[in-house]
Amino acid sequence: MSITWTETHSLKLSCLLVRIIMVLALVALFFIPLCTEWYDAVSEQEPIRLQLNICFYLCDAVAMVAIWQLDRMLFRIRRSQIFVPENVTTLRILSWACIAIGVILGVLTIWRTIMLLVMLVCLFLGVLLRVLKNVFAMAVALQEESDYTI
Amino acid sequence: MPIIVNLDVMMAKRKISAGELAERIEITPANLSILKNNKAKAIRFSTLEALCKALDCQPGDILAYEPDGEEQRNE
Repeated sequence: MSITWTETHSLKLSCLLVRIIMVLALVALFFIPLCTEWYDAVSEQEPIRLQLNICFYLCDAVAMVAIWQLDRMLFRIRRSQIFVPENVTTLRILSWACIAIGVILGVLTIWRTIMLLVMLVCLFLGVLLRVLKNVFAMAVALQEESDYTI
Repeated sequence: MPIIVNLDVMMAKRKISAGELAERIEITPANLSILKNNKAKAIRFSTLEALCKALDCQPGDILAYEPDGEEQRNE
């Protein structure tokens, strides 16, 4: 399967964006305590700095795994390996990562109800990726059948 | 898969090499190898026609149905 000029540039842009997000996730590791401290200072509700720190660090760890998987997937797509089982695995990991982040942020709804919205968005994204993974798995099977039709 | 490709048997009967057959039916030696080693998932009618023509045989001489253990138990 050949990749056209526009697709190559679109892929390069995706790779660049993923790398930027990867750097941001790494930088966030150092700034999470500062951000939660600031949030507690401006928030008029009960302080939840410790809970926020724990949840955000957990989310950052999961996000870094997801971003790394996304980077690997883009690398494979650049090598024209699109409908391969590795990409199905990556989509499965990404889906579970979104669901995990949703659950972690869901814990914060105990103290901040607004987190329910973020949790629902993450869970929806996780389900969406799961459906995409199912479609990809079917595509892999079809590709394999096509490759082995003589 | 219970469908067996007996291409090697017919090739031996006709004394034709894999390279020569691949050239005659205009497929790559790699694809012929997939077919010969029962790795293929499907075969096009055009390929089957070319094979029958090149080997002067019927599709039944190349393909055979052998039920596997699971299917035999169900019967």
